[in-house]
Amino acid sequence: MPMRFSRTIFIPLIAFPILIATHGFQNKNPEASLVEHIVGTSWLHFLFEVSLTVYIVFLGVHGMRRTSANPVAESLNQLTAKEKETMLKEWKPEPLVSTAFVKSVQRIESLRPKIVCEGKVGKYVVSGGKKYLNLASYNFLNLIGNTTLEETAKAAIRKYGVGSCGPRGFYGTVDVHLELEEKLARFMGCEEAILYSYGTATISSAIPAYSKRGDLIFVDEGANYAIQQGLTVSRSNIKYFRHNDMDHLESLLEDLHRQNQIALNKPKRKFFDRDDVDHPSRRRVFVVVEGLYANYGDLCPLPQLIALKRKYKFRIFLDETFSVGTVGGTGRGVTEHFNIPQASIDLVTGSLEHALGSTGGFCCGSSFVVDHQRLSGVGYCFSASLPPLLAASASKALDLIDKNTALFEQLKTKSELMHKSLSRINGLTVGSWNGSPIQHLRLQKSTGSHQSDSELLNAITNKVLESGKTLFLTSKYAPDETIAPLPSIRVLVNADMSQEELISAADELDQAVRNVLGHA
Amino acid sequence: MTEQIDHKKRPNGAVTLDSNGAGDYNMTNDVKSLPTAFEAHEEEDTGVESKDEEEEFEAATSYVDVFTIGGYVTLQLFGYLRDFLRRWKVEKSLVAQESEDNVGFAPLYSNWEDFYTRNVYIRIRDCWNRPICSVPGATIKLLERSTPNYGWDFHMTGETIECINMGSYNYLGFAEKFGTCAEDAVAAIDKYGVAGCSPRDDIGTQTVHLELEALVARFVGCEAAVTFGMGFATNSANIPALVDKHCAVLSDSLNHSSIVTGVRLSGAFVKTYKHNDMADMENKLKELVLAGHPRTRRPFKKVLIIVEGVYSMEGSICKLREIIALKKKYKAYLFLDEAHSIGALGPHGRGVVDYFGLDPKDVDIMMGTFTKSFGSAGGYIAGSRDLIDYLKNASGGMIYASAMPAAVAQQIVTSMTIIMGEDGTDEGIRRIRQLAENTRYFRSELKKRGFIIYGHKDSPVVPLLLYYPTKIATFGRFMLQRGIAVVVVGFPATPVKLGRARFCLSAAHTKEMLDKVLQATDEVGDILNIKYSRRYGPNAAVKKDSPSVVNARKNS
Repeated sequence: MPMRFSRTIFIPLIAFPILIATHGFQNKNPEASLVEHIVGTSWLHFLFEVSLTVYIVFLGVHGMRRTSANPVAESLNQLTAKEKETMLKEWKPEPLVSTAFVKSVQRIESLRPKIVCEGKVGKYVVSGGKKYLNLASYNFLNLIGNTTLEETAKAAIRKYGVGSCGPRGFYGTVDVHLELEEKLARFMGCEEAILYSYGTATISSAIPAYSKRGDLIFVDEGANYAIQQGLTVSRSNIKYFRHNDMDHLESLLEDLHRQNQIALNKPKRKFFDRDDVDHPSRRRVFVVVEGLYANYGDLCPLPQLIALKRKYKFRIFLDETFSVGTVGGTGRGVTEHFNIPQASIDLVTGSLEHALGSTGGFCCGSSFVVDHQRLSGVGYCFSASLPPLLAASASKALDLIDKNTALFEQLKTKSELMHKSLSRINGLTVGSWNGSPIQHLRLQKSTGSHQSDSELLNAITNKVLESGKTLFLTSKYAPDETIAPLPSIRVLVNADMSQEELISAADELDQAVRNVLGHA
Repeated sequence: MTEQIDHKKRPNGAVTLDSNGAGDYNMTNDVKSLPTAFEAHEEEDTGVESKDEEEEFEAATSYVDVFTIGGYVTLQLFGYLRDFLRRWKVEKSLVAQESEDNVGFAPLYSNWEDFYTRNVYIRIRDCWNRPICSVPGATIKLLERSTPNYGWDFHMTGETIECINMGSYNYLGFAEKFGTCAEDAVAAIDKYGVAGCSPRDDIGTQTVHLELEALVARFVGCEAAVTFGMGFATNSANIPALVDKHCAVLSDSLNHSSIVTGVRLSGAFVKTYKHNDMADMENKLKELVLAGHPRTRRPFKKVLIIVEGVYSMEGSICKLREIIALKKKYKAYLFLDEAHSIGALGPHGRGVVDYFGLDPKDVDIMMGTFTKSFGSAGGYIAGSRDLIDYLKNASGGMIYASAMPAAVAQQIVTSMTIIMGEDGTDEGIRRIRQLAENTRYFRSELKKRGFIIYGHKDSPVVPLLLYYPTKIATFGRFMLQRGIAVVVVGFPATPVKLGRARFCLSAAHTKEMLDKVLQATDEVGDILNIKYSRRYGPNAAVKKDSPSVVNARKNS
């Protein structure tokens, strides 16, 4: 219960019995009239009782007054039935989904090929009877199709069935979930991990669990859609800083610091201001960044961010959806890459859907931070838990990659190779970090509009598709993205691809670009 | 206790009323000989049981209210005392502390936010998050835990407890590790892999997804359907695609958290109406349609009504006929969330639309999940072809979220085929009927014993009211001692004064299992003194001229 509420209710509730107990009853005067009985021996005491009663009545009336009549309903009651009927007839709602909008969305959509895989979505995919080298799915460590993982999943079906039939709170906690959480915590070097049943639900449930109305969040402009959803649900004040621009972030933090100083130098706070949420000492500040950006393929400058954290005292939420299992010597993510202790990051979010070949997501950090989500994480409490076969498969995948430093070195080498091959293509620029398994290729010279850029890039990838044996796809964004990145071709490297395959894929892309853009 | 009740049976074995007014269903395991529950349902409409008694929310006497609040106040006072002792280091604090590096940071949690958690919830949290190590079928194997410090830490003792499972959502009993569903799911892994690791709109669509969507569309009776990998995300990703800040949403006050999240993400203007109250809904609808946005006074572009088929905490079924009539009158759109009703209601298992015999085309957007009746995971949205085309292209759930794993999709395909009867057996219809019978039997038997049971008589979710915070915990623990796993819920999932236990029935439960559960509940009910009902059972106040008593006299 809020302290403010308790003060106004409990003080009279405690004071009243005390006053009654000390009321000077006319015990020595049996002839006293009713009025004298009520007033008691001390009229000053009676005055206290009366004023307290008036105060309690006032609280009651004031409380009831808040639920006042509905002004909208009142104004509607003044209309006649005929007027209401006419108004209802005149109201023309929009169709649920306007056909014009559907057609425009479909037109954009028709640029991209419709791939329907007839088997596994592994290093190769079979679609429409043809086999392609797959550079379009997040299968970084090529764990799709791994027989050990498939056997583990099958064994889990034979023990637990398919679904878990309940949320974690109501018999949906299977022992494989607990095992996976422990393994993830150990793998990431954290105290505790919490498992979610879907990758995109993870960060969008984690942010609103901590950040409420009145809190402040600084986000990188390149943040992905799931982060944007988490920000909207949290109802906090959001401030974007330019992508990977630590100077811009510092200037924003400096502004905030100056505002706080002004607030702190105000006259001494009264007793009742202690619950003021906007007061600088109570308003939480978070910075949300991604380890490896999905939309750009570059790393966030974590060391500078940690330095800023020490100076300005904010908490860092690091979304390592794409960096866990890909970046770092043993795949622990950007903290390992930059050699930063895991304890400096308040919350790390990861995904089981990309490098680990399963489904789901997780958050890890200190118990103090992570345990809170077990009751406040919306996607954790109100959703069925992860099917046991996927948890068992992810658990086994962690075992497979745990000591396998060679695998991550292999991935890094292949990514660097791909980066070098793609950089040679005239007409496209590669903006990503050279060791990243996600490479984004954008037009060197943009046509001016997102729409036509997108059309050109799709023409290129379609060209590769029809003439060659490789599958590239352009990145796609939802219509309601806050800041949609520029259209790009997204190349996703698989650690098991040979050098020849990668180089020939890059060559095919080069060929298509020359064809479409008409370069020499 | 049961000797007093006169088991009057009508010649064809349909439901009859005894002198206390509770239904008495003669339960046998020979399903085929009995009429279906639905024929019995029609019989009842003629006279004896009034329409009001289909759905009930009996209130307990006011002394229960007073003592429940008294219980919470006591807990709060003790909470203050313990906080005081912890603050002054008299008692060792086991609350997790912030690391010393973070000195000078704004506190992550406000003190009062976690007050309830550390002083009330921790003491009784052995009732929740119970780990299992078996398939969540009709029986379930729990891992035994012990706590050395009243709930702060748990250790596994290494033992397992075999219980009858009244807590998992397994309405049609498809949570199985043997049988066609499991075999098909295993084969799907061989063919399609464990997962796709790619969004549906990129390269994650596999042939099994298209098969599933065609099947779902046929199952619910719509033109097309689209599926997603998580039921929660189905709402939170698609409601923003359907309404935006120029639209209005009219939502039931007890709607699920996923709907609330989806509406919040969309930015639409929201109004809630009292749970299942059609008069209130009409008033609010009138306000939205005629008055427009309260501040800008502009008319809304669209009004979307969001209801659920079965509300899992109340056990109530939405009044779909009236809602459709209202929606047509006011030109609004209807979003029906059938998370708990798909597969579990209706003579063919097609949900609440099937149960009332209405036309699926009247519902604009039909949404549901596969977790409950199909033993799988994920959600779907079904509707007109235009709607589904639009969602497939513009929904965040298709563009960013990874595709449903193939084994999960195959489980749904197989179980749905069985329910529809297209696998050549009558297994589907057998399960549907078994569930309906179990529901009727269990509910009427519990009512007869004098418990307050909320909800519609055909809803497979059975909430049993406990009220007191302490009885919530004790009920959960005592039932576990007797080998029954139930779900107990209190504040904040339910209103403060209405703590409850919730039984989830399944087609996999046999009569013996249900009888065992009833007997255990009866025992625990006597120990805890929770038989509050004044309409049924031993504490019932039988009025001399109540219609049920008069009719019973007439029939005898």
